[in-house]
Amino acid sequence: MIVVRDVAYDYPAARVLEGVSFDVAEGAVLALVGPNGAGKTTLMRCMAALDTPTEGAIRIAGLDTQADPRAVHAALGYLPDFFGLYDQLTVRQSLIYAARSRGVAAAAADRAALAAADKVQLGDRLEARSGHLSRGLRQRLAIAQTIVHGPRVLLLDEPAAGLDPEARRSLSDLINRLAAEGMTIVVSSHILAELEDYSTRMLMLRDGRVAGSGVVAAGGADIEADLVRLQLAVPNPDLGAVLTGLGISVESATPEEARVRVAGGAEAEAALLARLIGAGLPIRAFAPIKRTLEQTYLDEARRPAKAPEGELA
Amino acid sequence: MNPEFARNLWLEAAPRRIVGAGVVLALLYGAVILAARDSDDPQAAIKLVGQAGMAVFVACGVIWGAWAAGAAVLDEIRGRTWEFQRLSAIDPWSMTWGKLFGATSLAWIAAVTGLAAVALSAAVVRGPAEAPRIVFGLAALGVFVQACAMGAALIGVRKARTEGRMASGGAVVLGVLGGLLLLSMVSSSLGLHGMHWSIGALFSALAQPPVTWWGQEIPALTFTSLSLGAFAAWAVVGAWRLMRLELQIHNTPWLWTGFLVFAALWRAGLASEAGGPSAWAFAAGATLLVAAYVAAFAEPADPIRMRRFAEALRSRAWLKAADLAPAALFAMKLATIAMIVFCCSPKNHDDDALAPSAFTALGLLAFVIRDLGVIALFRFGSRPGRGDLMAVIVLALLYAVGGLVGSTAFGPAGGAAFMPLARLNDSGWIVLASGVVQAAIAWMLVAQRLGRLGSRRAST
Repeated sequence: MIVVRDVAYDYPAARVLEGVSFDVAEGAVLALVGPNGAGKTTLMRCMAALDTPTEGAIRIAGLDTQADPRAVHAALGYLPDFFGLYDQLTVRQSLIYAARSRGVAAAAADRAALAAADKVQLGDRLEARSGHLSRGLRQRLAIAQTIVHGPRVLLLDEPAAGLDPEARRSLSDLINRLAAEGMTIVVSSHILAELEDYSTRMLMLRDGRVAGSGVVAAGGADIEADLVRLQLAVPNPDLGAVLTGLGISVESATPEEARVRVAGGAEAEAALLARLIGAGLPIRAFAPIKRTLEQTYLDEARRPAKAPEGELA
Repeated sequence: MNPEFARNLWLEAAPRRIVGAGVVLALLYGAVILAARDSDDPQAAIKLVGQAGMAVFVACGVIWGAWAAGAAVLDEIRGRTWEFQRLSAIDPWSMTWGKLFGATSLAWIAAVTGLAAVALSAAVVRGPAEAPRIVFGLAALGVFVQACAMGAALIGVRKARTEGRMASGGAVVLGVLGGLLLLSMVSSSLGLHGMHWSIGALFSALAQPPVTWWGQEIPALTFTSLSLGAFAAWAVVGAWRLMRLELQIHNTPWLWTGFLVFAALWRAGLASEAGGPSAWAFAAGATLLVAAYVAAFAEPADPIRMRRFAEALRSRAWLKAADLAPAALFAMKLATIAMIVFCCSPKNHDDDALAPSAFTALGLLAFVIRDLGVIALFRFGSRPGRGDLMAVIVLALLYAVGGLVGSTAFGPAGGAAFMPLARLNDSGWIVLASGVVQAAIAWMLVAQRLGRLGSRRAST
């Protein structure tokens, strides 16, 4: 759905992107991460056909951003990190304008506006002026304007910046819903916790280049293959030895808890739990370990950058 | 309906605002009629209504309209909604006219009452034949100034983006001033000194002798109105072309070239008929040189585009090079052609005592090339945001101080080496030699600066 090849971008005094190449498959939710100044926003603006790369090419939904920027604009929705709304317009007027300005026919604009408002749970505030909305609601309206024409690709640049925890949760739910509808989404942020809930893939930028292995599984939603954390109700100084004696592969152990490796999925984990209880261990907690996005980020940061010939999602 | 036009109507021409404007205007016109009540002149009331209508048109159609047209773009920047608009599916033309006539809709509603009052007054006082031309000229003037303001705002946005800052209203002010300067040139050609920049030019034109344009005698009012109409159309086209660039659509240079040819021919037509081809060519060349300065300041100083332009030239991709070429280059090419025609044409010095020699004309060309080099040198400097101002200051110093030092040290010929316009008829070879040397130095410095920018970029 998104193909980026050898993209470089120059500001007058500096090159901010160099040899950036990657692919994003349809339906993926890509976390675009990296430190401040890594080039995330510039890359997003190039993907949105708002800026023209100095070198390289980008295709969005099969459309070349340089050859046909207006078609790309129609095919995607982009919410920049700093956005504005027409404060004097009502939510309904804002959404109708957004729909019409994005090519929705006049007869269908009202319906599209209502549908977008419902998606972001603003259906009960259609007559409120945009300028009177709270920050979280403004964010929802901005996203509704961005998706009102049903784009196939959605680019969100730091969408949760400045939102309170409740609004962030609401945003996560919205992104998950849009992803479930098949939308390909790229979310840029340098705050990994906010990407944890919905990202399926991750791409790290550093100093304008793709860091690590390119697009990788984000890990946030996936259980790590075979690691389980168990905790005891009563500490046992010999916990590691006891587990080893039971023939269990131990990654790490303290008197209170251990990380053990178990292959075979949920059934093997259930069998292991039964064995541990059968062996008289006072198990207080037993849970598969999720690989966090932060862990993936740190792993990728340690990995040498791949040659820029492209990555497959 | 064009969604951009509709949105602007929602914001600008809300019923409450229309009613408010209507009440204010009704009070104004009512007061004017009451003021004329005791006059002995039976036409006093209609004359006063005409004057009030003119004032309303100037205030609303020209000043308010220009402000609103510029703000139609700059408010989007300030409100951080411009990227949202750039991503829309609205085509550049719809975006242009939607903003130009939508953002100014309430101003136009008020201005139209002024136009109606002027038309009524003109019809009664001067007869019905002149009223349509006056109304057309005024309406064209409004569109011209508003389109200039919007174009200036779009230029300001592009320049600000290239220079890494936020666009300000200063660009609009400069654009409107530029438009008025152009208007001044238009009307000063007709000999309407003193008030030639103002709306009064239209009324002054009523009393002026016919204008001779390419040998044809045209009533002054007709010529002024039609000229304003033509320039208004070009101003709208210019705003549309700039909007295309904002919406990431490439422009080819041919429409710009078309405008240059139009402006050169329009101005050449006003040159002394007795001067013949040399007078026409010099007038056209001078107009094109002014256009080169305007283009040099209006385009963003984009070293990346310059590098691409150089690469296209090296690879002999001429069409690509034409797309990437600085706009001033086209004006300079045409000006060079005009000056060559001037040099090759027989001169009638009795008719035009101010006509320069061929050497001086080519020297003027060299000085403009030098000036473009100075402008580029400062605008590609480390602080491009101040480049325009620095370039203007340095050019002023070069002309004023250089001319003073030159004339003090070496007499009139020395002065001509820095102030070519001071001595048009002699010292031609000094003007030419000095211009060529200074232009070469300026452009060597520009090449060095661009080279340093390229190497700095490569090292980061």
